Amino acid sequence: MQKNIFAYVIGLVIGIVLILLAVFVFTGSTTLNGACYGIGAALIALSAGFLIGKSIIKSAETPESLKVQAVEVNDERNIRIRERAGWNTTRIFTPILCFLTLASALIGVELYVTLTACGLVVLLAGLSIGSQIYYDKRL
Amino acid sequence: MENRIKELRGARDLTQAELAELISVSSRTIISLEKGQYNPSVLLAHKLALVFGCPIEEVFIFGEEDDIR
Repeated sequence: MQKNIFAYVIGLVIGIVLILLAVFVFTGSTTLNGACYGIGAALIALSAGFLIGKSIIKSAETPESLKVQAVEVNDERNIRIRERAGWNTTRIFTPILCFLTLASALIGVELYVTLTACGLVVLLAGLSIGSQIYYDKRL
Repeated sequence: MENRIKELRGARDLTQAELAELISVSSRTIISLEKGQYNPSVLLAHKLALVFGCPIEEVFIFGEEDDIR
């Protein structure tokens, strides 16, 4: 958990730096300016949201609530539900992503959109194969 | 797979929440087990058998028609 907090603090700092770069440095270039604003804002929202949420939860934590939380996280039925939900999501999302990639190529949208979608399909396939090899060795 | 969890729990005068606490699972898991909606892992089955003080095969009744879910 400590590692998570550190990662989100780093994310928050990078987000702020990107926004500052957009405001003071990359004022001329619209693409770079927009990218800095977009990525920076996303990082700040994600990191600040996590850190604020964590601090609220921490203030309300008691030994009893921590015990209940640990049981809920490690409960084998909950673990199986999460695994099945993840598997189902991937099963549904994969053909949708493939269809969108094909559609973007056929309707002639900007090349970078099609390439990005292709990259996501390749990433998804790579992660799927990598996970299968990993769990094949571990289980 | 059928089981006798509800019966054995009742015989020991345990609530679902108490049994859940004894084997470190959520109450919903006990409810699902009693309804026969969820087949537990060997570890959880072993914990239940230990709590009830009887062999696993007395807690869970494995029928030939049971398939892998």
